[in-house]
Amino acid sequence: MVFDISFFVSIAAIVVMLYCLFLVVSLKARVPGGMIGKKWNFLLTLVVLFTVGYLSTPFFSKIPENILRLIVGFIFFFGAIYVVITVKLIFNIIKELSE
Amino acid sequence: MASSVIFVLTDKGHEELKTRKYKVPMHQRRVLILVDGKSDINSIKEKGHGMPGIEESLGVLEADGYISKASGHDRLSLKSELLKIIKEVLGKSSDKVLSKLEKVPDSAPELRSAMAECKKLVKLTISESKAEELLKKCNEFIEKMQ
Repeated sequence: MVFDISFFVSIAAIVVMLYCLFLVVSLKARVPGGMIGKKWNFLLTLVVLFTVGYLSTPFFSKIPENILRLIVGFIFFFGAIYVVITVKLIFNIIKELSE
Repeated sequence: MASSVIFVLTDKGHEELKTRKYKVPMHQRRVLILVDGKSDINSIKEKGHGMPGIEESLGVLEADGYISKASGHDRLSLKSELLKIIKEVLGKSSDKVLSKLEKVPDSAPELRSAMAECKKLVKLTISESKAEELLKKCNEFIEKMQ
């Protein structure tokens, strides 16, 4: 394992993602259902997936390049889905509140 | 006696209805049965279908301690009834909505607009179908009470 700047950036990213996971889990109890509750379960799954993905970043140097590309591809893909769901959710909340 | 006065049964009144312990005359007993803590004197007269001397009987029953004038707390307010409907529809998830509604003054227009806000809260965080049901039931009740 190489302790260069990218290692420390990865650690910072993991910490932020763990905090995000904590927030998503703690908010889940306050949003049992409804429009937000339904999406929240999916967002929770994605955050768990990202956390696992981020946890693997310090070990990237030990992973074969083809697997590494696949992991990064998946993280980008699910990241895009996460953004779409979040934006749509915000859109729907604003729409509902402004009716 | 003001016709808007609402009477509630006292403990003695409840006891008399259950046991006939105090041997209240039949015409007064009929009036006692009509006292429900919700109806004002006019409503009691309507329910009595032309029964004579209702107001006098109420006066006697009050003087004898079988009934008493309802305080604001005893009176069934619109808000307290809406709170019951919310509990019934939302069950365990009703806390947020209840605390929101408790801050609203007990008047129909304010409660109606607060319910519209509560519906949004329910739709977003509890259940979309229950939100519709809740608003429908509450609005129906508000209309019925007016």
